[in-house]
Amino acid sequence: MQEPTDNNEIEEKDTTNWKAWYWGLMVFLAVQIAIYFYITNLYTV
Amino acid sequence: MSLIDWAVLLFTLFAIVTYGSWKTRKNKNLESYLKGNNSENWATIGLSIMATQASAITFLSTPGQAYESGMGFVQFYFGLPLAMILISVFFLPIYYKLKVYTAYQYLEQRFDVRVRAFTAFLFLVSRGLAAGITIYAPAIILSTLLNWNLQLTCLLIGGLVIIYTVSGGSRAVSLTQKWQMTIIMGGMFAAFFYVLDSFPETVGLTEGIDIAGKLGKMEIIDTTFDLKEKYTLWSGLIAGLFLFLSYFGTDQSQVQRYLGGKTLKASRMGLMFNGILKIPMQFFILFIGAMVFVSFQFNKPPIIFNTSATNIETQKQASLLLIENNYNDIFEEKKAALLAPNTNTKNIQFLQAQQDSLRNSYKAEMSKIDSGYESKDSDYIFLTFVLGFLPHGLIGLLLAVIFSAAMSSTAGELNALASTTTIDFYKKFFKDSGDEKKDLRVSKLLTVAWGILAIIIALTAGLFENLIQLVNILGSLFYGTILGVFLLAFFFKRIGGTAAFIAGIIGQIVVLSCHFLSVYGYIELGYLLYNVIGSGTVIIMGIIIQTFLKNNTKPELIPSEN
Repeated sequence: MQEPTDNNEIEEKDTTNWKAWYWGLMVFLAVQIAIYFYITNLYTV
Repeated sequence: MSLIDWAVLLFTLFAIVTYGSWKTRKNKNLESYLKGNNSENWATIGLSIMATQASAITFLSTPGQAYESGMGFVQFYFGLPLAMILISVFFLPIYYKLKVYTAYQYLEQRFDVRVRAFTAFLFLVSRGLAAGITIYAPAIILSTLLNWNLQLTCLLIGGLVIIYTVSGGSRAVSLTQKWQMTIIMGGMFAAFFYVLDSFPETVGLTEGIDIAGKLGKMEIIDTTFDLKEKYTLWSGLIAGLFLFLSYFGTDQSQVQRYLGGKTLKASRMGLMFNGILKIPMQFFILFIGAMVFVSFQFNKPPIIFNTSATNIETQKQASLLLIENNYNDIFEEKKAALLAPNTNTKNIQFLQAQQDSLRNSYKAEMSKIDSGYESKDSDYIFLTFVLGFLPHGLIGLLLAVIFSAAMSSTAGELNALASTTTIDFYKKFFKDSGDEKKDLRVSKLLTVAWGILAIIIALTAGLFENLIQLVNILGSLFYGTILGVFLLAFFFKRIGGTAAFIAGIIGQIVVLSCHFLSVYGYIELGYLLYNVIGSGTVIIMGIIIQTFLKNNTKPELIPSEN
């Protein structure tokens, strides 16, 4: 079996700011819900 | 269907199958077959995750759902981005660290072999049945509307999937899913523009949204806290979170997609990709349905969309003709009212309610004449529009979209079923020969076996009236328990194997009991709540049982080869 790349090495090289990604995704979800809420109120029969 | 439609459909399908098989023809060992040698980039992973989840029924049913009940179904997906974050933070690093092939391997390292076998078994049962329905559901709609042979349609979808999944394994599944997803989205965008094109000249996108809004199709958010309501803001955020945490974090058909990533970063990015795009994509598909509804305000729709699914000669039944004539009169009156310079909202809402009521009366009358008539026809709405309003060539492309979606999710399922059977049962309990070539052969044979079983289930699905409905909730019946066991593993370090195993069995019994009590009318529960009940029961019972048992947790997580 081929040995996959060592993950500790991968973790060290990964400089991505994951916290920013997670917060960004949550804000994006909140913005979408807010827009859908606005549309719902606009057209409530 | 014209010759050009057939040409587009067949070319698209065979090009994808040939591409998938050719690009991955050099699989030599189990690692490359089951994990694609960890070579996928984040975009392929992201598209592959989305393609596995989106089955053909997604593209057939979802627009119909918006047509009938508005766009509230999008709330179902609100828990998904939160689930992506939790999986990225807690699940993914552990799977990578332990270099597992299947999610269930981790459970043996954390608990014991019983817990691993129990969860892998629950996965095989639920996903094995679902794979058959993934083939059957679009096949029954295509065969009804296009007068195709149902058995041949099932065999075509299943057969094509088996060819490239067996030949190329996980990598072939991911690579083909990337192109299938591209075709799916391209086809849906083209359909959207033709829906708008079918509006009268004086009605544009803005007016279309306005009409949909006035007729109740743009009510997206429901903030009521009602356990009986399937789709509300809260059920989407809370129960949806549990469902998607379980589906993406513990269902091998999804785990296998991101375990094939080049790096942990690529896999995480793939999950973020899904978290960002999934809700807008579902909103877009629902929006197409709402716009089809608007189009059918000006282009007379059939009173029901699945007439060809019954043998009733509707034109010879006086009661049906009377309802249909009234329906047509109201349609003309409403159309004139919508095109008038000053639209009276109350009037068009009143006419729409009358039209809906006539549609329901017609269905009830049909059921009286033929007790076997299936009154739910919303799955047929989008395809009826496609066949009636799209130009030749594009009809072929949209049919390719439906086939691609069916094939991409079935391929992901077969690949995961074969992996779990090979790794969690064959190599674990029967024979670990250490011979890579032999293991690869076994894995390929198991893929064929699961494929044949899926086709057999698809071919016999028509014998079971409520099977589609049953399989729709099948995931929720088992996901709660599986997720509960994984949550115990991740977050409750003192819980040992025996406690987790017993808690898992109790959790499963509780969920099945809730389901049967709900089916027989003793309680009213939306099926999404089974996920919360299942995982909640497993966690609580795990804690209680552990307090009565000697602490038997394993001190360290030791990666094993199988």
